[in-house]
Amino acid sequence: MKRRSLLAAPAALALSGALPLAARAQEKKALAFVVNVSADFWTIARRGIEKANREYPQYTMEMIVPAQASAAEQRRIVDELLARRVAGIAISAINPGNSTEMLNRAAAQSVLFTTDSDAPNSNRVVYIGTDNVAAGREAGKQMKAALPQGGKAMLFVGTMDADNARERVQGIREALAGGNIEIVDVRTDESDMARAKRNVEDTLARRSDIDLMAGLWAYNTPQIYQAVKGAGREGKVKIVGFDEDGLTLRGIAEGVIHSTVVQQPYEFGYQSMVGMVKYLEGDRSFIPPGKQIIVPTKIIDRSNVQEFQAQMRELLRTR
Amino acid sequence: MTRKDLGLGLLLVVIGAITALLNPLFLSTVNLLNMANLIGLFGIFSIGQGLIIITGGIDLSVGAMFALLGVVFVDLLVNYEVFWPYAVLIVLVAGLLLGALHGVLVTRLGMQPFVVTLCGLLIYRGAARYYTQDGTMGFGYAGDLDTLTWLASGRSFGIPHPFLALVVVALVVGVLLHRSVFGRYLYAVGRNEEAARHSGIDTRAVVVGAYLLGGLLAGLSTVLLVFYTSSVSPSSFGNFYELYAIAAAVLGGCSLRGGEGSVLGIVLGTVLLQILQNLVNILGIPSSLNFAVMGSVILMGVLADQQLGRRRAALATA
Repeated sequence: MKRRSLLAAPAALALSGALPLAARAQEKKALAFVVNVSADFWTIARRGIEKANREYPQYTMEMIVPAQASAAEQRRIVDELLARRVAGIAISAINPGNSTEMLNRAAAQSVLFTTDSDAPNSNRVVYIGTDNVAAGREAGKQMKAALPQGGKAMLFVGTMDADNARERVQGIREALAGGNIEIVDVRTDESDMARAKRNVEDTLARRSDIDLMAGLWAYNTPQIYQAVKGAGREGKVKIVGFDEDGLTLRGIAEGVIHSTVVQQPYEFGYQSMVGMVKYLEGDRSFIPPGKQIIVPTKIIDRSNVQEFQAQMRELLRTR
Repeated sequence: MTRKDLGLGLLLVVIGAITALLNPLFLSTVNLLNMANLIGLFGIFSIGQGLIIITGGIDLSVGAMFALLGVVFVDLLVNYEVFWPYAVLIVLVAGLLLGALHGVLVTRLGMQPFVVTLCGLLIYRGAARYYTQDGTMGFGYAGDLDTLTWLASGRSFGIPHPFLALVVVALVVGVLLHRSVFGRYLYAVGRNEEAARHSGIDTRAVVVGAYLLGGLLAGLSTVLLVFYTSSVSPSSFGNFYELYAIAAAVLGGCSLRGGEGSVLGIVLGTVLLQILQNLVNILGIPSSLNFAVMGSVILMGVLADQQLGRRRAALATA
């Protein structure tokens, strides 16, 4: 008994700390933005949410990052949000295809938007985010531009069971179809950065005929950049990437990386929050008939990298 | 060299030979040096893990320690622009302190090493994520760190520095473990802590010593790993690396019950794990089979080793 009461003490403390927060949340309507995993990408989205919150201070807006990138963890978070009676949830579902039931429960009890990864089979109000197949096609075009003569390409990504990885690969294949660039293989690293780098190093050691490498997730491109530089194959191996890691941008400025396809997470955060506010206040005019608001991707290459670098530094400043 | 080390060495030679036959590029200088680099990176903290396992303990927190110390380290260098020797020193001392904390919790408060370091894993991972607000810390916008970059990830005489660091660490810890009084005490505590205490050994100090060394080596590994990837994402950096360390130590002859193991064995265990990962890429085996290949080869190797050992034992008694 004594042991149990000792354990109960910190729990009681934690609860008493959380109570005033919950009470405050009841006065103001709360909007939550649930992401899939911790990443710089979402730090940028957070800035967008902060901007929306400045425009609509009568709402509380928060971003929730799961401890692990698992559908189970996300489900727990959503259940807790519904128990807290939040007015709206924007979510980047980890496994949208198999989470319809959870998403519909959320849609029944609050306003549900999807962002970053869509769940078209659910009762979500609208999707605000990238079309990853289209982003893949953009990357495919960049690969063609980097290799006008054609050649062999290798793709690197964290895991292939993630929708955005599959869609990006699909888009790249579509763009390259019928051309003279061949995709030799897709190597995965299970989100381990060190393995991401060794995959590139091993590929460079094994094959001298690779002309282009593409990194599909944010951390892949910097690891390709470093390994290619380490092996002294800059210029001989072209690099095309996704997202806006600091090293990726540095590589573009140096001319080692040809270009990168970036999404606009700032817009995901801002538009999701503003959209939910509008919806709650009865304005539905912003929702297109297809219920998808596609935020276009941008290409960052040598011509615009400096301006973009400065912009990112400003957004990512944490203190 | 013990019989176990010999068996492991033999397994390495066999796997290496098969891989080289299938693709001669396995033995190319570039590939061997890449591998040496990774062996250095993973070997150093595996040795620290081995020391702790020899005392009968375990450290599940190393991977999370890399994330926490890693983000602090990058933050010191990039955002606070601390002179790099101080930043390195701070990380090493922080590693020592965390090790000391584990040691004290285990010895003075009598908590189980598994529980202490499991909680460490959770706390450090969480602290790293909170510290960075879930952002990735990297050298993308960093200024001039050429000297430190060269020290941590450069090469001398063509040999990658992490590998040289491993050689130095292995020699020092080897002497400490196999040739010093402290080393003999480590084994004694691991075999039978009670007996060691009754024979006048300050077992608490010995165990704390093992955790201290483990923490220090984790700090050193942090510096090297950070410069290998050049960025640290607090939620995934070093995930599962404690398992690589534990696997290397156990493959290298450490018993999870304590009291057994050698530095050479741990290094050979690390080499095996790294060769297995390299082979998947070099032979063009699909990435999805990476862990499956690792698991199967280790299982077959250990099984063969055991069967051979049993037959030899049977021959010896016959």
